[in-house]
Amino acid sequence: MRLSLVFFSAAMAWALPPTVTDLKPRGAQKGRPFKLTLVGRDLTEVIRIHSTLPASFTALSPEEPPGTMAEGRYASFLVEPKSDAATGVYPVRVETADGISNVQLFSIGDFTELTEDEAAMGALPNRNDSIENPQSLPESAVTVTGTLRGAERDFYRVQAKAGERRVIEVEGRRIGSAIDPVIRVFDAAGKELAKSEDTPRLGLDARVDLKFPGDGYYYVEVHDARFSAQSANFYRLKTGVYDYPTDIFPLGGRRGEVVEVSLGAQTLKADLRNEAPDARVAFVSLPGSPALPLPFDLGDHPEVMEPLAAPVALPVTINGRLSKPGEVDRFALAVTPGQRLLVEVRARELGTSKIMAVLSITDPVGKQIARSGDEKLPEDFFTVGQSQTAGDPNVFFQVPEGVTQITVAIEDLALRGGPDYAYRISARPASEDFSLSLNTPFVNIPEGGSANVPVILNRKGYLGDVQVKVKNPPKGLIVEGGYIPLQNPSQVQGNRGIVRNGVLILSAEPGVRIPAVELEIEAVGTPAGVPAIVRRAEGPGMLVAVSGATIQGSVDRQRPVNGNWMGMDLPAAGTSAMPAALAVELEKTTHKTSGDEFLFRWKWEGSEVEFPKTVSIDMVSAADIRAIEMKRDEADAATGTFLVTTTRLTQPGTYDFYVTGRLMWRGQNVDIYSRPIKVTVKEAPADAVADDR
Amino acid sequence: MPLRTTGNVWLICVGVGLSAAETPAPNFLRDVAPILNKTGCTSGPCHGSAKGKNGFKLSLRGYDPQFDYEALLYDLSGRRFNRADPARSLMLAKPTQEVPHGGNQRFEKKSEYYKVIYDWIAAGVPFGDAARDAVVALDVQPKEISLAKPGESAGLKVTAQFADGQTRDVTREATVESNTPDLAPIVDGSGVKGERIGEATLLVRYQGKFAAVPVTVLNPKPGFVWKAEVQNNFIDRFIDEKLRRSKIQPSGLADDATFLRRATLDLTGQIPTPDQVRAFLADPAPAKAKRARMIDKLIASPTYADHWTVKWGDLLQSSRKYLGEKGVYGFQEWIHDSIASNRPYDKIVRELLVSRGSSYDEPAANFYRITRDAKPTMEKTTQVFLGVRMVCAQCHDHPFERWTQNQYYQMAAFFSAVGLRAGYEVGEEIVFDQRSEYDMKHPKDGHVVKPEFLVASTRPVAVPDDASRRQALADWLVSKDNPFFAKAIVNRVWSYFLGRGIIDPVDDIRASNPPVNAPLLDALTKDFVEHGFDLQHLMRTIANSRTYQAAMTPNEWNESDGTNFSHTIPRRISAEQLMDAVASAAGARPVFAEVPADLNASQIPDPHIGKEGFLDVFGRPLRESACECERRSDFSLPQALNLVNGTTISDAVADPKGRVAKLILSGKNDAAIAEELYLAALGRPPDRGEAQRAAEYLGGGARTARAQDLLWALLNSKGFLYVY
Repeated sequence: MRLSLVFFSAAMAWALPPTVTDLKPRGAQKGRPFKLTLVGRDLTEVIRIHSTLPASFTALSPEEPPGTMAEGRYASFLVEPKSDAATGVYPVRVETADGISNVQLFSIGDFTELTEDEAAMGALPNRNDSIENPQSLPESAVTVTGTLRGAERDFYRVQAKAGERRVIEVEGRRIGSAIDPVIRVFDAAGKELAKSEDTPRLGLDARVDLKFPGDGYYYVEVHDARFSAQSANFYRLKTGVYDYPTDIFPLGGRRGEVVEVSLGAQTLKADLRNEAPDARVAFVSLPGSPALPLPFDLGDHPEVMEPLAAPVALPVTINGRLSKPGEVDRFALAVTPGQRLLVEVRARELGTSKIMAVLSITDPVGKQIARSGDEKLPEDFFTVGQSQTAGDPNVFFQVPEGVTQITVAIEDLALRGGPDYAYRISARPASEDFSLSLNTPFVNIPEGGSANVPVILNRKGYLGDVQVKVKNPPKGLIVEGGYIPLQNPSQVQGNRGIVRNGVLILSAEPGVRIPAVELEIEAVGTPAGVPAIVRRAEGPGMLVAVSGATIQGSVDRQRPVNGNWMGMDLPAAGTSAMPAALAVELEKTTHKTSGDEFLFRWKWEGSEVEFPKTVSIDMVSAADIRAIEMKRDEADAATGTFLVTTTRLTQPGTYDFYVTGRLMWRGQNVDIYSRPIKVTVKEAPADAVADDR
Repeated sequence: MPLRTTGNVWLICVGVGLSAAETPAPNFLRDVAPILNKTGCTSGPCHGSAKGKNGFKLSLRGYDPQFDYEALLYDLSGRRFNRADPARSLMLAKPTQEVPHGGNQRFEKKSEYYKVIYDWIAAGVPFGDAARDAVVALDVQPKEISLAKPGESAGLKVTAQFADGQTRDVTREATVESNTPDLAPIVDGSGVKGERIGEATLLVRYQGKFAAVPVTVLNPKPGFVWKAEVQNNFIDRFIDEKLRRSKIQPSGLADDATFLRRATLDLTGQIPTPDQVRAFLADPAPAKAKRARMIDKLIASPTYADHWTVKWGDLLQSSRKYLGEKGVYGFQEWIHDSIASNRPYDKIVRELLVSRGSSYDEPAANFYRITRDAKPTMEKTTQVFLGVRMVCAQCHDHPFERWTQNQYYQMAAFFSAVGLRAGYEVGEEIVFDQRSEYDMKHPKDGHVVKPEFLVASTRPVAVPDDASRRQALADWLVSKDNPFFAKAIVNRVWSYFLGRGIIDPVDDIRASNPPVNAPLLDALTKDFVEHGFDLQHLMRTIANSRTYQAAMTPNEWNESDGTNFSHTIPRRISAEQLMDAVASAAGARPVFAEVPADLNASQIPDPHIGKEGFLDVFGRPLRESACECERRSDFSLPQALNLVNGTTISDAVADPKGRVAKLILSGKNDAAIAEELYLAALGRPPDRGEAQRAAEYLGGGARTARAQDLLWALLNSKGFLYVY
């Protein structure tokens, strides 16, 4: 999904890149013009709005006088959506003279828009935090934008008649909020009538659909499942009488075709003929429904539906569903002996299926060839201490000699089943493979300075080294780093892909301001004897941090809100030169039996800033390294040294090495990145100490 | 049997030789092993310790004679025996201190034990034959000991029956221990002396067999005449039968105010409000009827579910340390819903045991996320739901119970297929049945241990060998016929109302820890089962009994009784009860970080809320163990200092929106203020003297400060801190 650009004139001025922390309001009723205020930092010089919302954005004069604390914190626009703007969620990003901002999501809905009293700008908090002090809602269908400040409950009162149906839904994670919403509905006596949390097809969001038992007032409570405090703490409570998809099957279709899809009460045609080649999902919704559209997977192989009467040829995507608990679905595939195959499940990660799939491949006599989904998750050197998560399984394997037919079986890990346990199995011939995803949704590259772009490599059989590149670098952009060393086969467990991190360092030549551009990032692997593997990176679209509790001793590291449906590329822009530059050089290398020692020197350049005493280091994807003896020179605060040690657990090879320093600049922490250098770790010698000075 | 090759051959020869002998020579099983146990060689501090002693390891208390025999034979390359000259064997020289022995002298050369071992060595150290020489039963006489007064003594006679039908007086070799040595100490190895009035149990052990002998030391005071108290239900009948037999006169009923406070705290965790106290005292209905109505009302109140959610949260270890934030909220709500809806107890437990799926969608599945592995899960399951502690049997046969190491692994095997795997969402885990490689292996030799119930089911229950085995466990565990399941919860619930279990500790049910009133426990268990495992019915039955409603004040015949429920024993109220009681009395609710402001202490989800604060000082458990003992009910100096100097009480009494402020602003007179504060804090009006002193104090100066002082003093009084 490409963002359209809306231009404004603005004077150039020296500032930090913009940040948008909130939108006021979060949504608007379809077809109605509205005033949109962006809340954030460094918003004074907005020259463009990037949004897929079909609308005109007209900048309004700042209401805050220049020179006040509020300067740059708000930017307001009069927005006039086109009449055909569909119900849905639209990203909004701003561009200023100093770069591009993060994305916030804006909703177009069908109902009258209200704001929770306490969520209005300047309102007092805790105004509707108990059932005794609810905010009253009209009987008509409305959408209320509210906020949850920490361990808060919001109560709303609705009036209803006996037997009256009402749908009550909260949009949270689906619209870029960190809230994990829970809905409870009480009668006037305080009896709980309904509760919803993690509704199928809504991810962590919630929806109840109920008939009121009698005339009277009812109370709707909204709270966060963990009563956590979040920066992105908004939600949209939607209440009315409406239909929504109660099912989705199949979970996707083939690009370029018109696909029949059941959404429960209705079956409709999903037109996938105009989907872009790099789009990963389309969206489908009930015609006229105010419910947000559901993601619909896009494939490129022939599609079949369960059950299959005969073995199917590859490539193929099989659509099925575990319709009852304990069900195991099996499919026969026609294969060629010696053929290398990749079989992948697409289900849970789409957000429209609850299945945690176990995938197994057997030969005609029942001998297992490959399996994934119930194996022990590997401990990862690079994610120690982080909560593990699991996604859809895949298996990469070679068809044994003499085997011309295999059986693919799928079941749920916990033997669950039912309407919410649909799946897609894609099977195709493949050599070893990998995929690459970006771990940042956008990047601002300072003039004469560097920015880092973390990437995540998911290996699917390919264990060699990978070089990450920018396919379309604009003039003046220096691309460095991006090297991910080969994988030690001994660390590969089962068929599960190994995840490794990489870092691409993007630098702008001095005096060059990189224009706003969508960078195409790709990764190249070079397996022996076959053509290079080139894979385009997938961007996250947006990332919203979701914090865990911080003072209670135990922290859930939460999966960030991800908007990967927004596109694959990396939005980038130039920004002002940083107040300082940081360089690193390798002074000395010592090879020891226990591992290597690298003595590095860092050096700051700049004025009017206080240089930090230490720097952070990263030797990308190197295991078991330590940075010790970090010392700033007594005579020169701008420079210092540190020692990096490796051990025998550190795999020999070449690594990207760079340092990061954190400055306090204009009241904010600013990270300054050095340009990377290559460091080579050698096989640990048997005995002698060698000095490669 | 993992024997060494050379020894194997040798052992076979010995076996043949023995079977041919005319006169049975001493053998290890029948004759020598009991000596090792009696003389302490196999005890924990000696060679029975986990790592042995000075390089020599025997099984703890000789639970594994085969192991001990092989250790004696093969350690030190078999040099413990000199078959040509038995007297020069280390096996004799060490315990007689002829050569230095770290364990000192265990017997003398002229002793019978020396002779037995000498003859055994001379006979070629035969092991014996388990089919002939193993002990199959133990008879102890008398079965019950009743001592007429302190100072009297009684002896025991212990007879072992062997597999071949022979019997032997083993009084001297048997080990006799008292569970209350200060009341009934062991004298001369196998006798008991009554030191003071009360009850104790003797545990008699011999070669893996056990017997328990109850001992009662009666009150010798003359003039006891049983005076019948009212009996509200069958509980009182069983209690009275025992009391009468023991010459203990029960106390009468507590007054209405005391009953109301006690029942409100025990059923809901809260103290009654002044209005509730006034209404109850003003109710002219007969005590039995109005108390029964109040019990029903309390059970139906929302705070009932909150209170018992705390109890079950403790036992099931609901904590974000194990479950994460979202997990702990989900598990707490599942527990709360189960209690609020009065789901039958057997169904609650079954749901936990057979749970699987996402920890977010199926909160009961969080049960498996806490202990995670089969063995600790089994230990928790047996301790919480059966009241049986199996943990000792992981390494050796249970020293005080019949459970063997094999049984430990057989029970653990029911959980060996349970798998845990990260889910899609952060913090989510999927509980599932593994498809392969889930067999439980025995630590001795790695053989696969099949699941088997702790005690045989009275009904045929098929135990599948596949991953669905825990379904069979659930069938067995919650069945009406399970001798432990219903009894354990009945006993546990009883302890929450009466301060101690009929078997105590409540999660340590074993032969050597018998009930103080077995007929009562049996009757309560039967009634509970007949009422469909209805926890509310059980609590209602207990709370309606005269025994529960008895006064704290003792009489001359029950003042020394602490075990037969003849009068109420005061209990310090729990941390959550105390904090909520302070809030209720002072009219000022404390606010905990990171939970909604309107939650009281009984509603917070786990111990990480308010950590290291007031609640922890007063003994709130961290939920790191399923043991009841983790919740502390002691009184400590930090608690006293907190009450006197801490901010919890001082802030509450001085709260600008609190009870004192409202009373002063209401314009009430001193007497009315004093009465209200007494009702709020102690659940009763002040007596005449208290009312007079309070009014005088309030009238002596700044009323607000003095009213705060009065409330502060009441909150620091024993009448506030205890349920009585």
